[in-house]
Amino acid sequence: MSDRQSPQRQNMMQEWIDRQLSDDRSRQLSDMLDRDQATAKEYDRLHKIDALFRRASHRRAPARLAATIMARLAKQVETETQLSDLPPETQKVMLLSLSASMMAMMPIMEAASWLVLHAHRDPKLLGEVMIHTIGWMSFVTDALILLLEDAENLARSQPEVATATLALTPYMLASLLDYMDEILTAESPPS
Amino acid sequence: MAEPDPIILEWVEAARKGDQDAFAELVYTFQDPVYNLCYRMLGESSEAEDATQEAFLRTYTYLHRYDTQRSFKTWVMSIASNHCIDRLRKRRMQYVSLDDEPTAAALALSSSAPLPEQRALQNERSEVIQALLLKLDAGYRAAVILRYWYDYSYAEIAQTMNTTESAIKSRLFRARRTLAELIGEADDEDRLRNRQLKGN
Repeated sequence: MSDRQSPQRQNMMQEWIDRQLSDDRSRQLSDMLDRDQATAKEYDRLHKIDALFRRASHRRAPARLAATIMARLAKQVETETQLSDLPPETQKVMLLSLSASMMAMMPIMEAASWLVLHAHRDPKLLGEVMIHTIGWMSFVTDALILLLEDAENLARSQPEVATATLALTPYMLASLLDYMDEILTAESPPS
Repeated sequence: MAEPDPIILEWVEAARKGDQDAFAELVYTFQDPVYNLCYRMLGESSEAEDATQEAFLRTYTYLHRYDTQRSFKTWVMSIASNHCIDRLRKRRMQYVSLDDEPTAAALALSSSAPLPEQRALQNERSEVIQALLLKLDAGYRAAVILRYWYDYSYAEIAQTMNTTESAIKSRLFRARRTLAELIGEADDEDRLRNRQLKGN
């Protein structure tokens, strides 16, 4: 199909298909189609697509869908309410610990970016680095999510324990980084 | 652009104050268009169901951000379409790592499958359309779905997808051209196969 067609022609064809072309411009397009076979061919193809899609049917939502959504919503609201019932001090400590955890994640993010940047010259290596980086990041994120969910549950029964757990998260991540460093040092050939 | 419906606004106001029954009314009213959008975007019923649930949960969470001057339906559709585009991006990352892609579209458009036009004539148009849709990039796919299934104007599509009208026009044109090329390729293969059959 021709890329030489001007944007104006493309617009006219499209507006004609979408029934948004004025009478004057419709006549102009019609003349153009009579004169230019390539444009006429492309117009026919677009028209064929338009006719096919205009007859497309709608999919109805399954019967139980609305009920499922409302059940999930009720659960979400309940969790939020329970969490907001925590003493303000506990909430503050939890937020602080969460921020500390996020800060502890920064070196991991930086390490991942560094790896990708340094592997970009070699497509094969880049592919491998990307796969491992994505896998590792999703592993850490999943672990954090699990930890936070557990802390949320603990916070309801034993707020002090939950706070302590979250406060330990940055240390856990830092230990993980140290461990990674050890592995890398062990694997790198002696200079 | 359509004026916001007063009943809808009433439900929105009540839902903002925590009335879950009012939100349920909104879910019942818009579940079909949202589900259809998700299904057309993702091409799979169970994933579409999950995406619809997520879209409504997000709608509830961000209800305080809804501008009542806008159409509520357009706003919900915008949340759903963004969510589906995110899902497709994540899915693509997974396929990149697995070096494989699902082939629902390829099945319908491969040389061994019946041709789109024939299938349309055989009352299997819906499958063909879905297969063609799945060949498009997520952004183009969303524009086509909003245009054909919801009869949205360029302005409404632009608002739903947070972009400009001219970007939507160009996206729609490219999407239609790609679809036309796919149909054209299938036509060519059909002609070749018929010729071979006659030769035998």
